[in-house]
Amino acid sequence: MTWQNPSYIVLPIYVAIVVIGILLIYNLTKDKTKNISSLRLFVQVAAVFAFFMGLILGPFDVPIYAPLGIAPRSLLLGGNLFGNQFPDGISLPVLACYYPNGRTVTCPIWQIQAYIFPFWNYARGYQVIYSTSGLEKIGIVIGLVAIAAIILGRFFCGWLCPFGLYQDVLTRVRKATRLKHLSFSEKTNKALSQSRWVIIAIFLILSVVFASYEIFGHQLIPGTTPGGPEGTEAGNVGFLNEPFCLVCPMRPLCVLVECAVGSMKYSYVSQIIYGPLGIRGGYISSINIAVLIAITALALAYRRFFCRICPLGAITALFSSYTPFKQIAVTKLEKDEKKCTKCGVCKRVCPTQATQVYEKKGGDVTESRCMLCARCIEACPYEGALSLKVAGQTVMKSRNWLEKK
Amino acid sequence: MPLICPNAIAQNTTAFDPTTKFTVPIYNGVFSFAEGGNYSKATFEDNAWFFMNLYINGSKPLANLEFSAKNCNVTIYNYETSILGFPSDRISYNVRGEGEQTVNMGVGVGGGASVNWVVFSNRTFVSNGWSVSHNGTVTVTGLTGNVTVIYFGFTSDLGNSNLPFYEQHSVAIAVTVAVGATVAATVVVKVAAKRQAEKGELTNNGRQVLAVSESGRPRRPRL
Repeated sequence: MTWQNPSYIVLPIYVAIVVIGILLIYNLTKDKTKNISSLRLFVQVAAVFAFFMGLILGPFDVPIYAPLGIAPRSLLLGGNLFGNQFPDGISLPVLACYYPNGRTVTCPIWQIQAYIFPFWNYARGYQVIYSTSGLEKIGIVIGLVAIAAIILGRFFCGWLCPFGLYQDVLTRVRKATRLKHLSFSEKTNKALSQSRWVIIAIFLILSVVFASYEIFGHQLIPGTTPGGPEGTEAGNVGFLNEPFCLVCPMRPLCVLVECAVGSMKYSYVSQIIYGPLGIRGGYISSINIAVLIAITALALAYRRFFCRICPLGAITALFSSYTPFKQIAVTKLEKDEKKCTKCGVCKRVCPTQATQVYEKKGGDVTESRCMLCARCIEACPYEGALSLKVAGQTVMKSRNWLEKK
Repeated sequence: MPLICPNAIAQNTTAFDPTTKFTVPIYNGVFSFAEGGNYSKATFEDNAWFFMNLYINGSKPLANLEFSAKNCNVTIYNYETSILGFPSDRISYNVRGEGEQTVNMGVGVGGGASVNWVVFSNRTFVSNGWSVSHNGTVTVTGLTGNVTVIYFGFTSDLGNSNLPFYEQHSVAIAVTVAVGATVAATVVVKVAAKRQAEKGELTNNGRQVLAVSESGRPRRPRL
């Protein structure tokens, strides 16, 4: 396949398929036990196509500038919506990776890191031109994420994130083999949850250290240069640009899937352009691959393992599950205590082992670990005991499926 | 037609082909181009060839280039500018013999961060064996095979100060307003929902009473 003008006719077709699909699933599974899971799976798949619209619109097999292997970013959809002030795409709190072709939104984690280093005050990014400072762009990213999180909270994680879908598919694979999932102890699960902040701190500190000459006028840590220790390839080329992306499991997954469907040439990915420090090509490093394999194995054993340590999930939770944003969050999981019998089903089915839904006495039971996946609502056998509310209106509620059966 | 005179000067679109040799006698170096092309002027000074408006067939635009080879035989097969949509230059050549090459593409003058430069040897990034001088001259030493030197024009010329403030920062302003509007709207919705909930727990006389649960036990109204 070669690059052609995008076929925008597929957009209305896509929207029609999604709307009809949601209505069909809603009606066909209305009285089924797995009604919410079926709907969620469909929404997840539809979201993946929306975030990587280039897979169906083009560009296909875009040319690159060997040997660097950078795909022409100017062809990426949604890239120029805000012009030179914010040209890398709209930030949405999902792991819709920056690196593959044809994305319509951009991962905020990449943006936050890249706007610190190497683009703090640079006028030119990867095939884009900036007219705003790094600080301003970071402000825009945080503003967009805050709006999204206040309105939908971690609904993005539960229903829209492509990596969430990947983990859910792994869970389905495990279930098909009739293997039981493993669970962490409450203490370990809390520690994993807290580790998200450590991950955020690490990538922010690394980015600031390497950008410190630009930001403060001198290197914060002597012996480092922009991008790494002095005299190493990292120091020379800025190997540690976007440090979280070097270990993120989503990047290799996206890029390899795009290679598989013909949207990217595998040679772009396999081509080694950096040296021994985490041997890498233009798109992925050996560390990426190792982390993806590890996360895949862990997600097979523990449901939604990566969501428990995802820094993007933590940032989303910051704007929806912590004071003062918790008070104004629009989408919430609520519990009617008088209808709850403390059977504990909600706690057992929760993919991230969130506990407040079980432990808290009624009202808003949304917590930072809750992805609003509504698995608990689906499993709860008491009519209206649990509900998903948007702006005070119930959009989903638990049903008395025990008696109906 | 081999060029062997070190002080040769070519005028107005002189053509060359792959057999044309550019020698650097004192350095015992020689280089040529893999494809034919032309240049408007070529001078040989300080043991380096300077080409003005160099164009190589199959490559992109005309550009200037200063090149020298020491103790090696070099074939330049690609030289392009603005390869990434912004000032970003690339030269690729094949080296036979462990010598030294100096390249000046007229970019990176004034030093700048080394992050702007990348050198590949046989498609692998190399951190050693090359250096950049203050005038943007890259010296590559000891590398053989295919060598590529890339310059990224990451510069710090942000913004257009002629535009009014609100136009320069319209996206940031719009996002700030949107965040404020979202917070305000959610607060309004929250207050409205709370009032509605309180209203449902009041009698006709406006007297607050205890709501009764399904089990018949009175419970406190939620505030």
